[in-house]
Amino acid sequence: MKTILKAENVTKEYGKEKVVKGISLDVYEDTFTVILGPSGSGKSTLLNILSGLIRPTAGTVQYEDTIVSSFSEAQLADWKRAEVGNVFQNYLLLNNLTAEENIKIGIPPDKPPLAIDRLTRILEIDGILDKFPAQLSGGQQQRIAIARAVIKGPRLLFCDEATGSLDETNSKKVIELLHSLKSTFGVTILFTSHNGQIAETADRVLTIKDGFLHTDMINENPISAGDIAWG
Amino acid sequence: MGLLYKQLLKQIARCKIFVVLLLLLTMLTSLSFFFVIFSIDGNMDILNTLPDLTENQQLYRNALKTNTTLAYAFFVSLAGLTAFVFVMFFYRFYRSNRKQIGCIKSLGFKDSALRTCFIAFVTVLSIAGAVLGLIGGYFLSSVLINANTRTYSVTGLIKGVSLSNLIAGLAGSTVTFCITAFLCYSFVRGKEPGVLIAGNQNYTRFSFVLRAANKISGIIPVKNKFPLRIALRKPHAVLMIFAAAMSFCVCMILGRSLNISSQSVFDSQTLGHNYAYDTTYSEYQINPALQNAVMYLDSPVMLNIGSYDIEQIIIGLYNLNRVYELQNINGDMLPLPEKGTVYINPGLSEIYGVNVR
Repeated sequence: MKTILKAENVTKEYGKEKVVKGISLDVYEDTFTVILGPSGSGKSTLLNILSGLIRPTAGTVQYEDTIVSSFSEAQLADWKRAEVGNVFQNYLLLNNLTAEENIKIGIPPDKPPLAIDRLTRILEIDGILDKFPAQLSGGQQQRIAIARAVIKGPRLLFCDEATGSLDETNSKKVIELLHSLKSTFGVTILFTSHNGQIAETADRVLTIKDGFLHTDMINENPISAGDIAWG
Repeated sequence: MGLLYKQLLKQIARCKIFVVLLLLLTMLTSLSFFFVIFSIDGNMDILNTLPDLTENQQLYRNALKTNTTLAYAFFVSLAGLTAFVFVMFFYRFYRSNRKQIGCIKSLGFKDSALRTCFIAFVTVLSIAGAVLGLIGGYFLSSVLINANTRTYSVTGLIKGVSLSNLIAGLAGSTVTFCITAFLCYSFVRGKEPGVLIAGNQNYTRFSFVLRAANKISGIIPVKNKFPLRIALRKPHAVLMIFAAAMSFCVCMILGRSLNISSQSVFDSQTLGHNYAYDTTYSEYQINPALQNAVMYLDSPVMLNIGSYDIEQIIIGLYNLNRVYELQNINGDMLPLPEKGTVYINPGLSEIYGVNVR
């Protein structure tokens, strides 16, 4: 498997507190990787470092042949705009834009986007594009957020507790859609969660404990999202 | 980029009260400047072209120079105050929209794009305020011109503004506020999107503030402890309230002292300048030596209207000049009445219905 993203000895400190403690890992192309860990274990911080949302205190993050962690602000912004999509637990849609505009704002000016009709059909949001975020349910908002992250055709999609605010039905739907996007558009997905059931659908599962990478397992027999026994 | 502007500008527009306040302040800044400058520049130009100045004109020119300094002082003070309110606005805006700004940055928008949007907003607001202030200043400057006409006994005053002052008034405030917006962006500039989205605070500083708040509130009576502790947890807010109260006091004292000094100037100009001359003659004058003198008839009469006897004065003029002129009730100059006609005092006409047949 080809490595698309590589972290080496990544550390993050907030004041005297060390949140991520020297983690090294490779992320493989076209895989769905779940990072598991309890609240406060450092999984979201690790995901943010890998996606360029925060800089590591020490260590490096490499995207293909480029050291991303040493990018300038402008270079990092360009990289995120072109290659990286983020989905957050609280959706973080822009409240003054319609669903369609929220999706379109994710399109970089110098890169052809994916076909919005096809994407919105896959995500089952084609009927709500004229609505504002406040008019949508949590599940609908999260699907809009996913569309916004994916419309640019990113090579990496980072989902931080993307089902954390959703009920079982919507959570399963989101997981199912992410798998579908991975196979349709060839997106490499990293997904953090504290829910072990979601990990059963992943190609690879990393567990984080107290800021350390605890286990790294390849899931030989991933189940489909519909078969998740929600705990 | 259009969608980014739409999102941010709509978000700014949600702070309606602040935006209206900022517009008023930007307008007031340029109004305070143009209000004075419109009464100065044109008249200063005229005075500068005169070869010899009378004593009053000299005094008037000195007053204009002082007023110019005052206009700039007010302009700078108000621009500073408005810039401070801009800082407060952006501080509050960035604090309450950290997650949204973090989200926009996570989408790959650069700091420069966001900053440009905020500067564009400030530019439009400042220009709108400055133009409104310019228009208001033009009309309000009549008040100062009238006051100057009375105080310095000079006539023919005009409204005018020099190009340099026009540019200073319009562009000066706009540039100041744009620089303020540029600097204010440092509240979020370079902040990592992940930190903005997580809403992480600086806990070290916070704990220090909290400790200080606890210590200060610990030394006051229990019944006031709680509200003081809450207030001190926000040292920025306390500082801003202090600054606002201070600015208000400075403006009040400045305004009052200006009022007092203006009254002193007025008194010094008018004191001892009220002369009375007896210009009446006991009999009709035919002396040819008085041909160039300004003569008029002034004869007390008793007007009988029904059962009323009203004391009035008949005045006869044969010439209008710089000393005598006839004015109507609105203060507009009237021509001399034609032969065989008279003007009637508007009071007589209005109250007693006196007409000429």
